[in-house]
Amino acid sequence: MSEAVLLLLRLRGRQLRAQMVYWGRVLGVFGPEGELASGFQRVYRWYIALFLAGWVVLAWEALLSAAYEAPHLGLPAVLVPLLGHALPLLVLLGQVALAVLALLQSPLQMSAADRAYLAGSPVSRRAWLAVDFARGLLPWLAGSAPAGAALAVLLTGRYAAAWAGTPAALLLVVFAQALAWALGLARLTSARKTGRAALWLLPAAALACGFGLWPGVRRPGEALVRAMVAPPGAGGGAGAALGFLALLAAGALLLLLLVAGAVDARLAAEASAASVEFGDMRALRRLDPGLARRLKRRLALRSARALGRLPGAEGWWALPARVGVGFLRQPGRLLGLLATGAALLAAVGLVVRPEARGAWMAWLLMWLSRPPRSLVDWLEEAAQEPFLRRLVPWSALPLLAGDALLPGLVLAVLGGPVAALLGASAPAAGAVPGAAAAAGGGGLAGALVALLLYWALIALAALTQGVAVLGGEIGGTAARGSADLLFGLLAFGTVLLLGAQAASPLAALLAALAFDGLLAWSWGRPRRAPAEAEGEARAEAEE
Amino acid sequence: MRDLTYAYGDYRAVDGVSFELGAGELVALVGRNGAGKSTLLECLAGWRRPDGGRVRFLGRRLEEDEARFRAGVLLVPDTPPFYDELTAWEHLAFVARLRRRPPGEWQPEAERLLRRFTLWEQRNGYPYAFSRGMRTKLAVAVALVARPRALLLDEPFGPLDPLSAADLWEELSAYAAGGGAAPGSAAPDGAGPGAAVLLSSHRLPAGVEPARMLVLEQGRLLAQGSPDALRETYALGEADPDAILRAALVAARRAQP
Repeated sequence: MSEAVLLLLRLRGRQLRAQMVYWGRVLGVFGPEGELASGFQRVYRWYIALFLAGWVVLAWEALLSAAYEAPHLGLPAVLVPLLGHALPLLVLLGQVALAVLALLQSPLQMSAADRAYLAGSPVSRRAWLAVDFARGLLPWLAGSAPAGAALAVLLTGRYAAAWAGTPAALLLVVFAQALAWALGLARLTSARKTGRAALWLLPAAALACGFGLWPGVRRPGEALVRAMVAPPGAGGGAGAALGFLALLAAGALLLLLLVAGAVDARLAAEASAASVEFGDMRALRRLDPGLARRLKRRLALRSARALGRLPGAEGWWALPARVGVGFLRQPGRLLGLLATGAALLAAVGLVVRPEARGAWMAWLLMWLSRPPRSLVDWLEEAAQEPFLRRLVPWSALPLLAGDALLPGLVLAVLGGPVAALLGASAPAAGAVPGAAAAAGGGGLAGALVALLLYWALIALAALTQGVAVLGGEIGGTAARGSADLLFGLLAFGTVLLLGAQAASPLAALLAALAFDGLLAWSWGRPRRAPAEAEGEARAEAEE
Repeated sequence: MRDLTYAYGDYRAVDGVSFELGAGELVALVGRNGAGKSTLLECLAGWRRPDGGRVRFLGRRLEEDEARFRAGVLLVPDTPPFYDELTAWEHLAFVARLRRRPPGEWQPEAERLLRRFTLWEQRNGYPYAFSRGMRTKLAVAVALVARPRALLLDEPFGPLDPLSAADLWEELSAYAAGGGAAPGSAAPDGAGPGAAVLLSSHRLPAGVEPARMLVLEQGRLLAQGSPDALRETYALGEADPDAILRAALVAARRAQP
């Protein structure tokens, strides 16, 4: 194995050198190929290397100075401690993002020559992947070292903290990348594992843990902060944190090597080829979006073997996995959903306090002008894409459950305290007779009713939008705009009127559930079979 | 190989193909454009996962012993890729080292091959600057230096001039007869001397007479056998091997209801 490692290191070293020379030429630092071999050019290369080394030292010093001075240059004083508190969670988010990227695109990016000479050779997979991992890690290390040092100085206001911050950041990056690679490669160990739900749900599960279920997943980030802020000579606090991070990094590397030994080169080659082509497509999208879209459809169809092994539309886990991956791929959607949740909570507050009728009428109008969408939006997009259409859950029930439950789960964690505050500040009796009667009054009752209403409302949002989108786009049964308006007015109008006019959140909830049942029943009509839709999509793509 | 199947979506590029290759055999896989030759070779070489059927090398599947499979089976694709950063000679060295061949063994062989393929003068040149024919010859030289027990070549004659094609054919014939193990040493896997060579082509150059021919059409094996046996089957007299492909296609068309 060591012989293979040396051989591959030499190959990758040559490629790195060629890349540097190329950029040197592009920037005009080096002359043409012939000149590069001359004695003068050799000396000149050394001069450039020394110049760059000097520049790196100066830039490093300037960066640390900037970090040290930042609190004195108008940066709000509250931001620095806030950053320290948020860092473990931010680290976790970064880890999850890396893991998702590794799952979506093979972490191993092979060139055509790699596919022919390495994937088709008996060379040790561990040696090959270890070398390529190290190569992929280089830019991350180069970026994380100054970032870690600057962050440590910013958090502590001491230059000396950079000495602990740099290795801590480096170790953390090794840990996070090795873990992401191990996860990405795990799905390439056999064709059966490429779509295994457990692998795809791991990042989402880690995220859920980080937000309260098991805070242990935030420990790497906490160790980073500890290593950075430990005061000098404080009984080896920084040393212990660094040791912990080193242990994590070593463990993740070991895991990576274990997984690497089992990678199926055929799967890795297919996934790598497909993700390279998709990568090229991103550049084209900027130049000609229409052409890129058409090509992407064909490519997606062709690459379905390699990348199409996302969790399918079968099984109980299909929807959470699809949506979980969707959230992580497009965090903007999650933010939008949280904003919607906040608006809904505000609406719940309005229902709980029926005296603010003018306010909730305005809110209702706002809602109808731009209804909240989440899953249904994706499904609408998915329905346009022949490749993704296969992943659209065909049964209405899991779709509705997903659209209501997933944002609900997120908001129960994040918005729960807000709802409790709202409930606690609401009048215990009189103003909210339904709530008081239902739960015996008090802040807790208000909070519970608020949450119940919130769930009912979001379920209705899913229903109305789902009916409109799936009915109009897939089933071809209804005009979407009118369906939006009709169901929106019927459902939300009734629920809110009942909630406010009858001053009973329980009545509103019952009405919401009645609408749920009505719409779910109407959804039970037979629609086109997935196979038929897929066939049409393929014909469309072939056109 | 038994009942091999591979589909691109609904289109079956390879449809239930079965045959065996023996050590010392030089076999030509012929068929029209799009017949499924390249896909079949890529499945055989372990570049693609077949949808159905099994490929066994010396009795074992790729999944059972990947290192042995990869050491023994090598494919030269239709458009051979090269590293932009390595010269022609460095490619030979890289592959020989990957396969742990001692320098004293592979270097004289590599030199002989480069001289035979008129590439010796360009050994320090970069393949990206070579013509298509030169690249094909270099890819075959690299493959021969790797000494696989089963050598698969996809359209090796396509970009070659007649003289180079004749040279290549001679080299492949000699390799099939005695390749797969270092000269003078026993075969490492105990499978006997010689290598199996399977090359695909839609047109065989003049003078090329493989030991066996496999005729592929729309992913299915239409006919297989020695050229003489196939000539007899289709009553072709002394016709060249290319005529066999045409005759097999005509016969298949007539046989259709």
